[in-house]
Amino acid sequence: MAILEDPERHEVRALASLVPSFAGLRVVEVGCGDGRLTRRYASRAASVLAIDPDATAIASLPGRLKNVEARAVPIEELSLPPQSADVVLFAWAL
Amino acid sequence: MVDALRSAHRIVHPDGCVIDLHPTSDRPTVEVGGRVVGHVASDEAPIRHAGAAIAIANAIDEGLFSVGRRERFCFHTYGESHTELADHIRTNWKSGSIDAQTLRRTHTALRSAPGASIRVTERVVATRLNPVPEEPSQ
Repeated sequence: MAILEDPERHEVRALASLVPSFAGLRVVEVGCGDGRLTRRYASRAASVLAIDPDATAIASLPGRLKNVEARAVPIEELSLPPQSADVVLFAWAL
Repeated sequence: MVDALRSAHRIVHPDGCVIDLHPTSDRPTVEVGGRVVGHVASDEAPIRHAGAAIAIANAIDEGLFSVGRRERFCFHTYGESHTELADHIRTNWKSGSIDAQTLRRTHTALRSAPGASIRVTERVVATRLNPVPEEPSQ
């Protein structure tokens, strides 16, 4: 058995109580790391911009999730138009 | 951290939201069969997690957000053995370790309950922040 993280899906349930549906939403995920949480909701979102200052951690993300763009950048340096995201998700990143 | 929330406030749509997930300052527990045998040690993590809560409070005080909803949950990480779990934490967590005493207690607990689950439990708070629109400048 490998390491199992949150097999009970408590995190996903908590997220669903805060955002009942990701359908059609433009999401910016901050601190996505290797995409552990991204993989659990991204397929339902319109788009996901997953950012993390650690380029190594996010290297595996774009190839696996077709509607996810990954950028190695901190949010303070992210160049996005104002009001262009429906959800900004800090994934254990603050 | 508040700067990150200010950046989020700029890019989020007024009808959208900011979601934050971060562990509380409580020390993560090491559990065998659901029984606590010790904690994950870290000098830095509780300070960092408390800082996240302070940043959110400050952003609310600045009038950037209001709290829409808050949830708490336990995030469990399971390993096949205590050494596997200790290795995972050392390799993948920003900081933290399972000390020798806790590893010994884990080993002892496993001897008396073979096949029991071994896990680390983190308490996490999840918050939905609704953006407060900026006042139009005069």
